Amino acid sequence: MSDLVKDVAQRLKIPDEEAKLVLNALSKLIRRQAMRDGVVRVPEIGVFRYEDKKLTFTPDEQLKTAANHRYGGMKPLPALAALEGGYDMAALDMPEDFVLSLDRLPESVDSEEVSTQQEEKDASVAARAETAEGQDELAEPVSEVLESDTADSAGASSAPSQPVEKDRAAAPPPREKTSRPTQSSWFIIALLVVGLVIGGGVWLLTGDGTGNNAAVSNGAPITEQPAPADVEDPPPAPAEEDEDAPSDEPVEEDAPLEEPQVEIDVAAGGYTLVVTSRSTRAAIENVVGAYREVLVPQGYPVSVLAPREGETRYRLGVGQFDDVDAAVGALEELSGQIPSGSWVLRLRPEMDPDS
Amino acid sequence: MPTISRDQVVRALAQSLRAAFVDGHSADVPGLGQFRIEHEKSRLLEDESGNMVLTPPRDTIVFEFEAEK
Repeated sequence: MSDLVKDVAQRLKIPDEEAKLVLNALSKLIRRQAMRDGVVRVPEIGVFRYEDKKLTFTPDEQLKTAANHRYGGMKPLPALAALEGGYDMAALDMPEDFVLSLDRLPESVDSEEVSTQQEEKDASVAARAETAEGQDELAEPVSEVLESDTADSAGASSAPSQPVEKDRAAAPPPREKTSRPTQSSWFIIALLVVGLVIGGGVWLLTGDGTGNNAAVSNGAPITEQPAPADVEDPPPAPAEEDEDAPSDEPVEEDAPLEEPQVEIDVAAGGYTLVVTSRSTRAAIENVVGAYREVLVPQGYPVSVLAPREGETRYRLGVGQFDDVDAAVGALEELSGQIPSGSWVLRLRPEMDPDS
Repeated sequence: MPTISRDQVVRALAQSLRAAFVDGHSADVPGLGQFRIEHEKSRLLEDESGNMVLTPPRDTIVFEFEAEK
């Protein structure tokens, strides 16, 4: 015995079996009349039609409202405005997390994802409204509940419907559209100003104020050429040495300038850091220059490494180290200057691209 | 045995259907067929003026007639 039969029996105060017979009789009546007249309208339920030897059904408005009570009163939203943050979400009386999730949307969002998110939010709003109203419609005559629903989607659906109306009204003026970009641009400007102030402070502390501050790029000790005496240990403590070297110590004129090693001696073996790879040698040669410009002055030779047997990609190696620990140390030291996915590779003679 | 009018049966059936739908349940009417609720997701559509709109999700009634015995 289906729940519907039991419910009807309860409402008519008759036994279940009798209710089933009564419903069967009503069903037969509806079918016959539909087939005879083509259409039969059953009050509060809907219209049954017999077209093309098929029975169709169009539900009554009250029935439709009952089925769709969770989303009653919702209206279509202008989609692009919603994506661009063109709504005053605070005025929508929506849950806090709704606003946050919109803020978290990436720059490019595909429509399917948006519709799913929107639907989930819709469902959560409807569920909140439903729980707020309580679930005792069944205890009361359903028609009373539904009539109030139909009037202006009051009750459960009033919460979502009003915000939507506000939303549509607020959407056309571009006021909010312009406010968000303005806020973000102010934030960027503020960041730039803070960056400039910090940069200036660092320049004052580390530089000598004479414009000889080429070494400050990336905070890396790229050059200490003005003082050839410093050639012994270029990388560490650039600030202190800079202060002393040019003024105090007379530069030994005959101190030979050590040319930094430009290329990795692959045949010598050891370890290197692989910073990138390309499928052709021509492609990898295009990026060698950029790495050499920055890293060779720091003492890291840069070379193209040929693919080993069974491999197809040319790699770009940075530095040549006697052991793995040294290579790993350099990997940490160069973090920020080389790609984060760089890794340590043991050099083998067959990696020499010219061999 | 008390007599029940057709109108009383129709009204009771309508109330029972609405009660079932409010709870999101489907309903089988003996000799007629099954009413069930289908959920339609919200969709991105172009309206008459050419603007993209996000339609709200909705629950609709689908009815399947029972084969006549």
